[in-house]
Amino acid sequence: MKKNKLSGVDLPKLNSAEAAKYSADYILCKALDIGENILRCGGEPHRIEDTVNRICTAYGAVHTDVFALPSLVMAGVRMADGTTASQIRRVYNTANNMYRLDTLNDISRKICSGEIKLDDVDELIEKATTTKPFNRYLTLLAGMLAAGGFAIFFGGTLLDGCAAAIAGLVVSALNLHKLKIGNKMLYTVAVSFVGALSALSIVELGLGNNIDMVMIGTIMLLIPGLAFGNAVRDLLFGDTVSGVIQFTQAILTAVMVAFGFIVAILAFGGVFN
Amino acid sequence: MSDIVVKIVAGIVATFGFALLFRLKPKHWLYATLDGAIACVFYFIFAELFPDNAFVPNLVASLACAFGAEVFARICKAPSTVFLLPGCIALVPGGSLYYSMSNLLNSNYRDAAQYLLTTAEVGAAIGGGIIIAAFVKFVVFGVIDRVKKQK
Repeated sequence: MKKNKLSGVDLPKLNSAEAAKYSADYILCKALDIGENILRCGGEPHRIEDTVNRICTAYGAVHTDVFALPSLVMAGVRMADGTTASQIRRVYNTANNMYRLDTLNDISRKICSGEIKLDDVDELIEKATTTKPFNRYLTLLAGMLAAGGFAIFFGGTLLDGCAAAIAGLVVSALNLHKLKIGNKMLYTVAVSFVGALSALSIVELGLGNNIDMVMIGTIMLLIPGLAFGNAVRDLLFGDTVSGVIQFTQAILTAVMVAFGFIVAILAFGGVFN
Repeated sequence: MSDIVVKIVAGIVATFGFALLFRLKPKHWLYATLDGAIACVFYFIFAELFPDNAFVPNLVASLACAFGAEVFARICKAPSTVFLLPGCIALVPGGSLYYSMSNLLNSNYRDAAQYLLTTAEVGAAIGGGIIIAAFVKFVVFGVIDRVKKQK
């Protein structure tokens, strides 16, 4: 009986008649379709490994090896009849989308319990990746709330919060339209520059009195959330490689954000002191 | 005291903002915001108890937040990350990152290094809190599984 690597809990298996209908390649392909999409919407590498492992085991794989990185999933399976399959998926862009993560996780759980047939998976993934949980323009309001809230959280006044909310609106409007400026790092620099510039202009115009609080509120939207905490967690979990990659990415992104802010401050001149 | 209440409310509002930015399902918004409230309250309680320490308040707050996320994940039958990600966001050291940058810009290298170390310390504390919660969870589920088998 195969076990979950972390908790030691037994993985469930479907009945053999259902499992025997599919080839090893087909099962692995569908499992990786789900794994790849979970990675795309911000799932942790060990979650992808667990998902692919569970689906393959449910469909009768006697041996599954999955290795997931923040940008790559590779997997190999061996079935009971001795046939093998191995496939690799490369992921270029990841963005946190908990609606998708939740839906895909649900699909994978239902596959393992036999509620969903493997043939229906394509359609369900398509549906999960195209539907939106709410109107996308609500994220503009969300950006305002987040930036304004954090400006006050870190010790600013109500006016600072309003100023940061406007800067947050600019940043989330840029994020909403996903302007294609080079790669992710260049994009981060560009968005940070514009965000810092709008924060500086708003304070210069007279709204808000602590420039640092307004800037911190804006920065919170740009730094990669929990990337550093996630990296530490992955390292401690034993996913050393993906931990190191996430660690490097987090530091690089933070440096890029700082760079964008520094350029904006220098461009504005004088305000800082 | 009222100062802290204002900060906690601001932190909760910001958490709600991030719950939307992370595209949570509308039915999960309340729980995610509640998780953020847990993190903020624990953070400020332990920041009062350990005024000169950045590690302990963040460790305790992320631990409480991770436990909260596990509980909400059971209630909603969703992955715990859904609640953990927005819940912990208020602990992210954006302030010290900004101050290390601004001090670097003004050539105050000593302050810059100090804020940079604080940033790293807080990041490690958040990761540590999450890992302790995950470890406890796996131990508990391992025990439950064993007990079920023996019956």
